[in-house]
Amino acid sequence: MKKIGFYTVVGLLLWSCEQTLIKDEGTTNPQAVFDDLWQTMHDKYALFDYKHIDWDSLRGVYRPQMQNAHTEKGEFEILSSLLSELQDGHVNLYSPFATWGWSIPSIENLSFTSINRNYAKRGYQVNGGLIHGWLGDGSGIAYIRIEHFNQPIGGIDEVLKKYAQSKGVILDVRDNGGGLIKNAQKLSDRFADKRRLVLKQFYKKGPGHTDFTKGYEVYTRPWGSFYYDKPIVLLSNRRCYSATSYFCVLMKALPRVTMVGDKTGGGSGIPIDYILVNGWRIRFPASYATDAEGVNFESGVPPDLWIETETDKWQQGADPYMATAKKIILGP
Amino acid sequence: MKHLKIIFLILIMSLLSGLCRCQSMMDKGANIQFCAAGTLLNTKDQIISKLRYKGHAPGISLSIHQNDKNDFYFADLNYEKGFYSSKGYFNSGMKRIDHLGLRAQLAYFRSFRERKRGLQWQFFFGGLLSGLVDRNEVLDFSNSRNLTYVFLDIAPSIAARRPFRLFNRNCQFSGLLSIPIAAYTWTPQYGVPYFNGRYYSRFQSFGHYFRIRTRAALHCELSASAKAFFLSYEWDYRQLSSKNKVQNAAQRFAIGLLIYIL
Repeated sequence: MKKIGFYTVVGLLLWSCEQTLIKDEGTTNPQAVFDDLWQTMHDKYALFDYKHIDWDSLRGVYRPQMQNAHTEKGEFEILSSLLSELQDGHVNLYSPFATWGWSIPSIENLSFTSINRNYAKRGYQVNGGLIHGWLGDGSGIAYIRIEHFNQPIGGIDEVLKKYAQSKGVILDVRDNGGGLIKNAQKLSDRFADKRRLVLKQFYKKGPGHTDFTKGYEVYTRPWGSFYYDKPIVLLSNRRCYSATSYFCVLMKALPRVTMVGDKTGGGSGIPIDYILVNGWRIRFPASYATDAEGVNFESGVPPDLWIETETDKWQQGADPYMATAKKIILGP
Repeated sequence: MKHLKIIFLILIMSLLSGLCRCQSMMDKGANIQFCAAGTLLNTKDQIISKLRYKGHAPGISLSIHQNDKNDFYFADLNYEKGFYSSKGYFNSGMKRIDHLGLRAQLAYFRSFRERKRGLQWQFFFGGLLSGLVDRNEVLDFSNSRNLTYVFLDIAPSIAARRPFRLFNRNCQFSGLLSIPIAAYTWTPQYGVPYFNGRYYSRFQSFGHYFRIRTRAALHCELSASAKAFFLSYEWDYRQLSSKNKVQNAAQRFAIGLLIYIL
């Protein structure tokens, strides 16, 4: 019995030692919550330098406010205000009672009703995330719309075979808020003619604001049963974000692709998440990416052909982007 | 200084629990050991949070041992799969953290205090080569992140065993203490994104990688010719602080069957 008692005591000592070694830093203290968020962002957020943000001075502005927050909702408001200084659509704050995010200011410049009424008069089909059809004016132009990249794009080979004899394709990614980069990459690779460098990704490797890895190169990898060699016009607007900005960079690098419309919303950083000491969660990018020429597209991918958005025309049901795309494909 | 005290305390306790208690071998040639194990996990990974989270992982283990009078060696393979839970995670959309652990070990020990006769403590010194894969998949409402750690370390170790009689059966306590001196690790990068994550691989110095492992076991023969059952307890603490600080502690309880093959 003595031995059993001895071993039990030793076991309990080990257990308590373990609790000492691995301390739980969980707390609801507002200052500690603020410090955890501020320090984590300081160490891992990738775009302070790019955005010219003085994170240290923001600490001085917002930390004293936490003392007067009094409620969890008040603390949430202050932390949201701090994060809003980043103006980054990849930054979110999640709590049990609310979620905060930042939206890029943009204007209405897409009307699917208008497209269906004025351009896709012969109806459309949906295959694996692709909405497609012939333009109804007999121009021989195919129209493919991708609303998101959340799911793998299926059936692109079959869809392209259907339009193999077309004069060109309009790829419409306007209002596509993103999804998974690998899905965007898989689709762009289907239009690639050969392996080529398209972008570079830089990851945080330390707490310094300039501590990044070398640029990891991303190449196109052509695939599919045949190469579609007709003109492609890619339509974009400010609501194209994250994986869709990646898609635009990847497509712009290909021959026969013309990007038309407005600059995308950007979002070159791939987000990570982190649980704060009070159990709330933050999400933010810890990397950034550039195109093959080294231009960071965090603030957007510029189109080859910029179209001024005139609100009154949109309100009348016209779609200047579609009209321009047709002109590019059909030629002068 | 405080850390040194804690390390010293652990060493003392480990020596007590490891040496005074047990390890896994009967002094009787080659054997195979099968066991079912339950592991209590305790982890803090700064990639995820400063919160500590606890987990449970059932698992299985297969070992081959060769025991001689003055030395022994063994190879074993462990697999465990479970999950972590923490009140903090479920507040903010986190579904769960799934855990997968794989471990392979090779060890050789030689007696440095020979047993002259009968029922006495026998002490061994040896080396233990351990390969460990620790994979935690963080699942939230829309994405998942894989945090995979791979460790390969080599550790000088000491072991002890003492046979005794219990209820007219041959039994044995055994114990093991192991502290690695060199490690090669493969760890997630500083900030791990939901996808396209990169990994670092490097040799770790003692200051950045610390691990201590103790194991205690009790074996009792079921029949004189073929089988024994065993109970074992293992405490495995690991700390890596080269980029993000990651601490893991596992307490592994196992019950199994030993079959002599020679």
